[in-house]
Amino acid sequence: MLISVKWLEQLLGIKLEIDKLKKISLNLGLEVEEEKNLAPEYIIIGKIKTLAPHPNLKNLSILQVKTNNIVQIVTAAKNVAQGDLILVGPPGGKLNEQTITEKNFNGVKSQGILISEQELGLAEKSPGVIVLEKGKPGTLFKDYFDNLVIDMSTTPNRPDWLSVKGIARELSIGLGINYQSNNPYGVKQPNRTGSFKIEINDLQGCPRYTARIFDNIEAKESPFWIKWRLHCMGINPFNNIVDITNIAMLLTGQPLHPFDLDLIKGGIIIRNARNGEEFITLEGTTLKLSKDDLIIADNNGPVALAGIIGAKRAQILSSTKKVLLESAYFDPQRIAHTSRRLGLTTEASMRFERGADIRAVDQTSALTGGLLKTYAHAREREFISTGKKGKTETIKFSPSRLNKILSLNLTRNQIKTLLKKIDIRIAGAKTLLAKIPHYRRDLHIEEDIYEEIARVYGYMNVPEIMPKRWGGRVTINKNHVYEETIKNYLVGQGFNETYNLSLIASRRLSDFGFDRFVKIKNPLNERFNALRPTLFLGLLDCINYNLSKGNRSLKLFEIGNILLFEAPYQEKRLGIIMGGEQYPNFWGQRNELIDYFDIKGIIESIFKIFHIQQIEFAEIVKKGFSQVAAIQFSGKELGYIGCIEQSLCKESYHYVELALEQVLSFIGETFYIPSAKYPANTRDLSFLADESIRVPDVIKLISKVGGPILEKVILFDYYKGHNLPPGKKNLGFRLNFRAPDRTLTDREVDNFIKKIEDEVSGKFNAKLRKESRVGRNK
Amino acid sequence: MEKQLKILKDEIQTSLAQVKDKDTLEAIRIKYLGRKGKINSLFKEIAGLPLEQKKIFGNNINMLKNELSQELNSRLNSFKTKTTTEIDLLLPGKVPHIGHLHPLSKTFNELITFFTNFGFSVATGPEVEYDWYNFEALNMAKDHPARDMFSSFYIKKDLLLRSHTSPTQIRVMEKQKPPIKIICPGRCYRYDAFDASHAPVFHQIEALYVDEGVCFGELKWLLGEFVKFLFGPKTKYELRPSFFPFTEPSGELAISCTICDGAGCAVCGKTGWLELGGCGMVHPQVLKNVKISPKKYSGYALGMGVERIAMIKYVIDDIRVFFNNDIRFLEQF
Repeated sequence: MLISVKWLEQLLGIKLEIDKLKKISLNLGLEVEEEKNLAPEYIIIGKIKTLAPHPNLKNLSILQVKTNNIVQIVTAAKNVAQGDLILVGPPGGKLNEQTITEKNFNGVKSQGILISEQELGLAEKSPGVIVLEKGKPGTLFKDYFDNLVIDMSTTPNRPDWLSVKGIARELSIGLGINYQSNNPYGVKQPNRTGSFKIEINDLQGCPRYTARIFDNIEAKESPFWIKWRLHCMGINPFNNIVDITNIAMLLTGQPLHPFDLDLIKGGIIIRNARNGEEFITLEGTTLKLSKDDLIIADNNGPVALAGIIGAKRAQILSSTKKVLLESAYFDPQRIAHTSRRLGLTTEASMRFERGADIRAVDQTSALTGGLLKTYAHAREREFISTGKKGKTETIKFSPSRLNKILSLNLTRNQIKTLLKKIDIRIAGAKTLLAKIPHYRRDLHIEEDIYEEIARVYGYMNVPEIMPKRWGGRVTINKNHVYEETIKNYLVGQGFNETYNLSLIASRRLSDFGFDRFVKIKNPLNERFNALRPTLFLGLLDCINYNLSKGNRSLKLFEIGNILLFEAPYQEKRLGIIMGGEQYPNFWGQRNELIDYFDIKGIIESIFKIFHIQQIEFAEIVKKGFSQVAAIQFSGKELGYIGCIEQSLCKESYHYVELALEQVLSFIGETFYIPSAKYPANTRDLSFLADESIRVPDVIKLISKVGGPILEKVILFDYYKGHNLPPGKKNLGFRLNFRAPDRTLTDREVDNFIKKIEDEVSGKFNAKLRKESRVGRNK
Repeated sequence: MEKQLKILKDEIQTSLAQVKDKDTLEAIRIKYLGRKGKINSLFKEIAGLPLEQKKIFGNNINMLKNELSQELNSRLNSFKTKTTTEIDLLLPGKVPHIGHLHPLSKTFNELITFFTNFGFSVATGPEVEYDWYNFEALNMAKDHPARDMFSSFYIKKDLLLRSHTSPTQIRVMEKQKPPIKIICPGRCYRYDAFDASHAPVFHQIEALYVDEGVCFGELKWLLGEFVKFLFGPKTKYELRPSFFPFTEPSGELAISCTICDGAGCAVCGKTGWLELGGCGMVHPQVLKNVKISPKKYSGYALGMGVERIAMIKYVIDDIRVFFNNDIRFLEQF
């Protein structure tokens, strides 16, 4: 909410120091977010002493103007006369970045310019210069009119802070001055009735409605101070009638709406809209209403969408002669609902949906009546009010519970004094009864009173208390611990951790062949209209971003949720991407490039860390990858690993993605096995096999034939090349035989080797090329 | 004796002058410094002398021994550096490439370390949430104006991306009876344009303690400990009144600026204070919504943005750098 500090000063009757004001605000729960001086520095108020035509330039006049001395100004303005108060821009002064200079018009010097609304940013074009209705010659504009404007950030529970009076009232607590009064709107309600017909059809939606009727209206431009004040408070001036209702709303927080009475047919009825009923707003937008919307209607249909905006067809124009001034109270939820459904927020809707003050309805109407009389020659004819008046709320609370929750030790008298500062009176002894001021729409329960006490007492005056008990049982999610293990392992292996957004463009996902992913109903833009079903694209972006910055040796990972199309809607994944040089900064090495087996090794080592064995890989096809394999555990797919198509990132990068929670669910228990007592008998076998033979299949077979005494089989050599027959490859396996209870004899092992050779050559059409004894080892 | 010493010295000088390689050097070492070498035999000879003389000659022989040994060593070194099989020990080593945790993970870790040591357990909840958990159970009915403070992305009617981590509180309180002492770290989403100070995806951590007799003073004590742990023992905090639908009383936590110590600078916008997050006593309606009696129990909650904390800690002025993942950024942490 924009607030003019001068207006606050006028209400509080004191000068405000901005730094103090900011500090006080913070401790009351308000915050000054921005401060800005709106009045130009040098402009000064002047009074025209004499006015004479320029001797030889036809369109110009020569003015003698009294400011703090007498200056001569040559002007083309036609709307000024002797005795007028005007605004003068003196030479040396700056206006919209331009310096004003003394000028010479055919021998007549001009010591400055007269200011128009255009120059103050009040109008796009102005026919003449500003003529003030009041002002003190020689006073600076910024001192006489509104200048310093602060942007107060207010919380949605305090509708009373959406008014200058409300803010003044709040600040008075911190300033220690008395600004509470029984009649916070400062007017007496004139005794009047009338015959104009008002009917409330929905008393729940509109508990109170009043109409004040005027004739003899002179609809015209507002006086300058009103326009300038509205401008400072962020509202565009329109005409005096509308401007005055806005001034009254800004002052009191009660929104008002003026109708041209001659354009209203019959009486006024407050009813629910019919489904599909059309409504053209003041701004000219056509809205389709629904039966939940509350409207103000005449015989011909809606003249206003209650509490939100008026209809174009009954608006105040310069032709308006009679005015019906609406001041009413509408149900916050109804207004909030319609405002949200239509996506239409106005100054009025903002206040009504937070909760206006039903007791302010009549008084603000009367106050506005007075202003219309002053500034629009309005003659008040009728005042019709209907509905409820609103009753005073009370809250029961226990001082002992209050003291316990707030960690304080306040007596009844102290409580009374604290609450009196915010206009809350209390009664009772053991259980207290607080009488809530009607403008405080946020206080309903005991705890609300606690907060008020703490606020006035000062949050920082509440003592710090070390708890005497520790409370609660502690639970530890082991998966978090395992996740940390993985993160730390990868960091130790030289990987940088990344965080990528979960929002992504649906078009990219479609391009990558995803057909089931979560789309956002109300996206920010096309770039962020879906949720990531993989970590791949985020990590790919990281590669491309870093490549564009000249870094190509990259090892990155992310642990994060992907979002799913149906419940449970998310799954935790680990994504790793890597490529570039092995040792990017080392002087000595022929710089080998990171390849597929590097990333596969990383993944295999992660499985090893968690003692997960029998992981299998099977070749699959996936968009974005030139080669890719599925990672499986006992038939369950845990993820995939592969080489990224080079068209996606210009160089050779490798990627793996794992469903982390699934992987962690396979962590086995670890049992100690005593180290072997007897030496192993190790043999190397080389087979010449068809290229199509899969190594894991061979290993599986060897292990099966070898049985329990075959401790370990590893592939130690793999060769395809020119000195082999075409379509063949050489596979070298190292076999470790060991028995737990004796030293194996070579004969025993020879037998197994023979069997293995037979089986392998039989099943895979492979030929044993060489068998050698490596020896015994521990 | 003196004469003998003199002769020995001259002899050594002559042999040293003729040294050509390591082997002759080694021969000299054995001849003079060896266990049965000439210098050792001199020591044996002085054994019979009177004490006074023994001292003087002993010293002199020792000096000769040290000089020779130094000379031999330096000559040996001069031979060594000329050989080719040796390595240059001063070249840079093969430094393994060091990876780095993301600064947000580092910040999360610090926060989790603090709270778990203060007895809080870690609880997590889903990023896709029901309206009930994100809003209604937290005392924000449909069309509640406070919902604007948590503008959300919707997936379907009543299903949205959580706009804070508070829904996890509700999920835990629905299942567990007090005492409840948890923290909820996680990823959240808000309908905010992606600019220097806003991100549509961000992270929060939330702490909740519900038990009999939990009071405002205990919350303040925790805040004091917390800011000192995270930002250093000199850090002061301020708790200011605020509003959240799910706490009453509600407060906004600010700390003295970590750059200027409260004097006012560009980082804190000349105020001397940095806002950290919100907190307060759990609203009785929230407790009622999860069937915990607000008559018997009370609680406090606090929540803050992890990016915000990292930005304060590391003096980062643009939230987008967390998500660019430029390694020149990542490798600073």
